[in-house]
Amino acid sequence: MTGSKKSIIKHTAIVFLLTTLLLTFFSRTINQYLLPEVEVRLASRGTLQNETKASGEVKILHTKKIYSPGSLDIKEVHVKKGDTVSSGAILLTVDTSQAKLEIKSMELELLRLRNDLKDYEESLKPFDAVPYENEIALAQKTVEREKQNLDIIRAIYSKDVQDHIDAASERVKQAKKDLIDKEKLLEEKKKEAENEKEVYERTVKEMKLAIAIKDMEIGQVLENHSNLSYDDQLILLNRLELEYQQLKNQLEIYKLNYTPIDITFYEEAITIAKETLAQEEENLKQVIESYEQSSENRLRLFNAQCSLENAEVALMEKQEQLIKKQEESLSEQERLARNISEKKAEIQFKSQQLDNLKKSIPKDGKITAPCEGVIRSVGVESGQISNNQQVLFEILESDSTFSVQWLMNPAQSEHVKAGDKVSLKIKGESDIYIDGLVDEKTFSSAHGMYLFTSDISAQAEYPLEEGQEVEVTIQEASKSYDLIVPTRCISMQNGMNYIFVLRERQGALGHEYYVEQVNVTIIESDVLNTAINGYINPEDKVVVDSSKALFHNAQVKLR
Amino acid sequence: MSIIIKRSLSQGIRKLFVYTVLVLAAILLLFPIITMLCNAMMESREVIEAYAFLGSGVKIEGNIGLKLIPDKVTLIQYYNVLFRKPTFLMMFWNSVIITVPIVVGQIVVSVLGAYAFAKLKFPLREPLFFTYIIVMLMPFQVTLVPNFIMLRQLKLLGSYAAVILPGIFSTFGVFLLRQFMVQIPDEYCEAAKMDGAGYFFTFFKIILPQCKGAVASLAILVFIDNWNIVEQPLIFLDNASKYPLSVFLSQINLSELGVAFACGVLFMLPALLVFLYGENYLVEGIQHSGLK
Repeated sequence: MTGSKKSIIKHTAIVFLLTTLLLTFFSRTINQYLLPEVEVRLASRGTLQNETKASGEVKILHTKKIYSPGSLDIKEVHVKKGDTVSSGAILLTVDTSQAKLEIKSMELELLRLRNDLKDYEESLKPFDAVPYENEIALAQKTVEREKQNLDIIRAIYSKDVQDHIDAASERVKQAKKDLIDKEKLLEEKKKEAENEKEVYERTVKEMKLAIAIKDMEIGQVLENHSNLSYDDQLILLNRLELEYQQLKNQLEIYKLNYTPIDITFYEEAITIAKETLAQEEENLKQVIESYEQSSENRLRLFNAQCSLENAEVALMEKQEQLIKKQEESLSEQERLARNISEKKAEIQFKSQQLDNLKKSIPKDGKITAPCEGVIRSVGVESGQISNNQQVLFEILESDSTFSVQWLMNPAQSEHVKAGDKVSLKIKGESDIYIDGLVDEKTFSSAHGMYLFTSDISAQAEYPLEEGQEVEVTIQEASKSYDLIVPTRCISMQNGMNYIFVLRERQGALGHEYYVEQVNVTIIESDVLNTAINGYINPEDKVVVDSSKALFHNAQVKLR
Repeated sequence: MSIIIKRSLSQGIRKLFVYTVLVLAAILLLFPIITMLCNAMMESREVIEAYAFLGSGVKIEGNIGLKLIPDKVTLIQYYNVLFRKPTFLMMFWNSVIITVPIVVGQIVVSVLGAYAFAKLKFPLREPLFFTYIIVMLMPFQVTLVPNFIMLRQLKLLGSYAAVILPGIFSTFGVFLLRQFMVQIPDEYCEAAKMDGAGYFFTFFKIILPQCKGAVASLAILVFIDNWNIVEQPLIFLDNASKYPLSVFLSQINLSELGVAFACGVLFMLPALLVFLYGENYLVEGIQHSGLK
C-alpha cells in the first residue's frame, strides 16, 4: 500500500469521526428544532353535552289591540305609551262632521243608482215578431201565385213544339243506336275473317309438310332399302307415291274450297246508317230553330220567370229581416240584463259601504278602552287621519305574560322535551341572556315542525318587545362514556378514524416522547368532544395539536 | 512452434474462463453493496414503492425486482440520518465504545497469551491450548448462557462491560498470534536470555516488534467482528440507548427503508476504512499465522 493511499484513508477516517462527533454534539439541539411540537389532552370518562340551537321570537300573551273602524279624523289623543287605563277610559276623540257629510253624499248616490235600475228593468221587454211573420206569409203567397202563372204559360204555348222536338230527338237517338250496332257487327265479322284465314294458312302449312315428308320417305326407299326384295321395294314405292299424290290432291282441293268472308256488305250498311243519322240530326236542328223563332212565346215565358224570381227574392229578404231583428232584440236584452245586475251589485256595495261608514263613527266621537291595563303602543297622533284597520292602541292587560316561541324540525327536536333547560339570548340594543325551561312542545301542522314555548313571565322586568329575535340553545347531556377525547384530535385516513396517543420510551438520547397511531370508532360527538372506542386507556394523553404532520412512532416534544 | 502456440492458446482460454468466473463471483458478491449504495440515493417514497412487497405479508413468487437506478438522485437520506436521526449518531458512538475497548483489550490479552503458549514452557501447556481451540470452535450460542449467568453474578448485566469483557477474552486472538509466534525462531529468545533479558524484556523488545503485522491483522479482524455485533448487546444490555449501530440497523422498520440504506452505507464506512488501512497487515498476518 502506498503512503498516499494510507494518508487518504487516514484523513477520511479523521474527517468522518470529527463530523460524527460534531453532529453528535449538536444532535440534541438539532433534534429540538426538528421535532414536531405537540399539545396533548387527557382522554377522560364522562358525558357529552349536546347543544341544539334554534331561532325564535318573543311573544306577548294577553294583549288587546284597538283597530281603527274606518278612516277617522283624530281630534285628540288622550293617552300615551305606558299610561295605565281602566276599562271605559276615553282614549281619543274623533271629528265626525266630515264623516256625516260623506254619509249624506253616499245616500244620494245610492238613490241615483236605484232609479237607474228601475229604468233598465222597464226597458227589458220581449221582441214582437208578428208583423214580420205576416209580411213573410204575404211574400210566400205571391211566390205561389207566380209559380202557377209560369206553369200555365208553359202548358199553353210550348206543348206542340215540344212534341216535335221530342219526336225528332227520338229519331236521332234511334239512328245513333243503329249506327253503333252496325259498327259492332262489322268488328265481329272482321275478327271472324281473320280467324278463318289463320286456320287456312296453318292447314296449308301442315299439308305441305306432310307432302315433303312423303317425298323424303320415297327418296329413302330408293336409296337405302337394299335388304328388301325388288318386288317389295316396288310395292312400297308405289304405295308411298300414291299417298304422296293423295296429299297433293287434298291440298289443291282445300285451296280451291277456301273462300274468305266478305265484309264489304257490312261496311256499306254503316255508311247508310251514318247518312241516316246526319239527316235526323239536321231535322232536329230545324225543329228547334223553328221553335226559337216564335219570340212572343219566349217573351211571355221570360216575364213569368222573372216575376217568380222577384217574388222569391222578396220572400228571402223578409225572412232575413226577421232573423236580424230577432238577433238585435236578443243582444239588447242581454245588455240590459247585464246593466241591471251591475246596478244591483253596485247598490248592494254602496249600501254596505254606507252601513260601515255609519258604524265607523264612534258613538259621541270617542274611542274608549275595552279593558284595564297599560298602554303598550299608540299608533296615531292628534290631527292625523287614521286608516281603516290601523292599530290605534295596544293595551297590555293586567294579567299579560311573555314567552319565547321557536320551531324545530322533528329530527332536531326528537330529544327535546318539556322541562329541558334552555338558554335564551334575546337580541336587542343590548343582548339579554335568560335561562329557562321548555314549557310546552306542540306539533304545528301548518309548518310541519314542533313549536316550543318557554314562559319568561318571571323575567317581565326586562323591556321586551313582541317579535324580538331570540337565539335559543337547548342543552342535553348524553349517557356516560368511558373514553371522551377532544373532537379535533381525531383524523381520518382511508375511511378509518384514528388518533395519536402520546407514549414514552427510552431512546438514544435518553427519555423521549413519541406518538402511536391508534384506530378508533366514533360513538357520538358534541361540539367539542367525541366519545370513542379504541385501544387506549382513559388516562392516556391524546395529541390535539401538532406543529408538523405526525406519523406512527414519530418522535415528538411537548409544547 | 505449434506446440508453444497451442499451449499459450490453452493457457489463454483457461485464464479467460477463470477471469470470467471471478468477475461473475465479484459481481455476485458486490451486488448487495451496489444495491445499497444505489438505493441510498433515492427518496423515501421511491424506496418504499420499490420494496413495498417486503411489508405486505404476501408470498412473493418468481424473481423479486431490485431497483438500482434512482428516479431522482438525492442525498436526502444521508441528511435524514445525520440531522434528523440522532439515534444513529448516538448508536454510532455506542458501537465505538464497545468495539475499541474490545479491540485494544483483546490485543493485549491475546499477545500475552500467545507469547506464553508459543515461547514459555509450563505444565499442561498443550492441553490448555487444545482447550482454547475447542472453545474457539464452539459457536457463541453455546457459551451464551454461562456468560449471562457469570455477568449477572458480577452485576455487569446492562452495562457496556457485559459486552466488552467477553469480547476481550476471545480465544481467536490467542490462537492467531500463537500460530504467528511459533514461527519466530527460539534462538532469538535464547540469545536474549543469554544476554540477561527477562521474559517481558524479550517479549517487548524481541517478539512483539516481529508480530506487528499479526497484531494489526488481529485488530482489523476483531474490529470488523465486533463492529457487526448484534446478539450480545441484545442479550446483555437492557437499555436501548446503549445498543450499538448494528442493532439499530436491524430495528429500522419498513417506513424508514430509505433511511436504512443510508445507515447501511454509513455503518459500513468505518469497517471499510479500517480494512483498507490495514489490508497489507491483514494479508501478512493471515499468511504467517497459518490460517491461510
